[in-house]
Amino acid sequence: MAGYGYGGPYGSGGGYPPPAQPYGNPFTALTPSSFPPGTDPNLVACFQMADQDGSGLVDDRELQRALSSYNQGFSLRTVRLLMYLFTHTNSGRIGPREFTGLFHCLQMWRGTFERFDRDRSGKIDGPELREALLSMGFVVPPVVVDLLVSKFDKYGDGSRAIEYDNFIECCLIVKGLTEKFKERDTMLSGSATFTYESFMLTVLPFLIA
Amino acid sequence: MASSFGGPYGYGYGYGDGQQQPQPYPPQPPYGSSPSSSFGSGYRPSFPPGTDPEAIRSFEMADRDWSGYIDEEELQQALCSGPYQRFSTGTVRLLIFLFKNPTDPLGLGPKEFAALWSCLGQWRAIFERFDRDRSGKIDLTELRDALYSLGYVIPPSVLQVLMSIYDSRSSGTCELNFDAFVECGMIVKGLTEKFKEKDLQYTGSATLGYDEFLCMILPFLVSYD
Repeated sequence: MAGYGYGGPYGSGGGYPPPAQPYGNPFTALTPSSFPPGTDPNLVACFQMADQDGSGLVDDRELQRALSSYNQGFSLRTVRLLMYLFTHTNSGRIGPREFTGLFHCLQMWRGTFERFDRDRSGKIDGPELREALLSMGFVVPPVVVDLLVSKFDKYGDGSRAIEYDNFIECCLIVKGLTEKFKERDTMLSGSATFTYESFMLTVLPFLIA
Repeated sequence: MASSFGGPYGYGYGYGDGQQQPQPYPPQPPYGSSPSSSFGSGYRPSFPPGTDPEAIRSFEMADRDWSGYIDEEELQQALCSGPYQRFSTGTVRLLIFLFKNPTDPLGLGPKEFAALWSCLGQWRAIFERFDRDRSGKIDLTELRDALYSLGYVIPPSVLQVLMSIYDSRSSGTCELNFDAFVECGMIVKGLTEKFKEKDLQYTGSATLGYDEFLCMILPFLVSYD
């Protein structure tokens, strides 16, 4: 089993706060959760401002607006991916607890991006992306890193580097697909068996948004 | 999940899907291989025999920098000044990614462009066949039927997921215009083909390594701006 580092084929998966508890029940996300005790009041206020109808849940556009006050703007696609990953459903709504988890994860990734954007160009290239993913515990082969960069290199000018919002998208996709894969590889052997149906169901939400 | 149609994916495995390339012919010298060829020998990109003349015309009109290759912008032009309307950036990028020869950094060469053109023609014919009310949109049931006509059986659960994805995109109408149809169809078809490559026993299941898993999937990632 060559090429595996960081404790297994996927890496330790550490270095970022654990995601919200996986919900098996698709209706759970529709029941508003509550903020964990000790949550930063600014975060609570931010959520409440976004939750215009006071339902305890925000949708993708509201989340996009809420996030833009803390980060630079994210595309709706990135926002939807975030919601999918932190609620484990396609419900299109997110509650306080998931919001908190999501927010902390974004802060973590922002820190990683800044650490690896050494020349402060606002972009990171292939090798830096690989290192960044490694630092988060994801052992991604170089050919996959190249694929990601070529997909997200907006300008196609051969600079072969990606910007912050696309970096976040990369992280979401790698994290999400890796978690799904690991669900089926409980022995952490590096292989997982999928039926055709489970394969399509796993993969499609990450590819199209 | 063996089904009664003769296999876990449905009958046919996509026979007659129209993506068959013409018979291989002896490779032509690469267009533009010598610096003088662009203008010295006249602009003459070489297409496979039997290429639709409209594809050739579109290529030549779109290749405005006479590079012998069609890039993203030129493809967008070719599509909307041709028989199609403007495609979204994501779809254009996906098409280039899927059809491009990896060794050609500049874009689609004549052969690849011809293949793409032919493929789009197939999808167009299918779309029109299933857009019975000529609304310019088809719903997910019609998409399922369209893919079925190519030999792909989409499980209802997968159709559900597609519905929720396109639903959120189109604010609740669950209908696909031709652009979205091409995107969706190419991804579903492409992923199914990739999966089948790993399921040599035709059992409906495949065991994938982690790297393999990522490599199979990521080419189909649609990147938006």
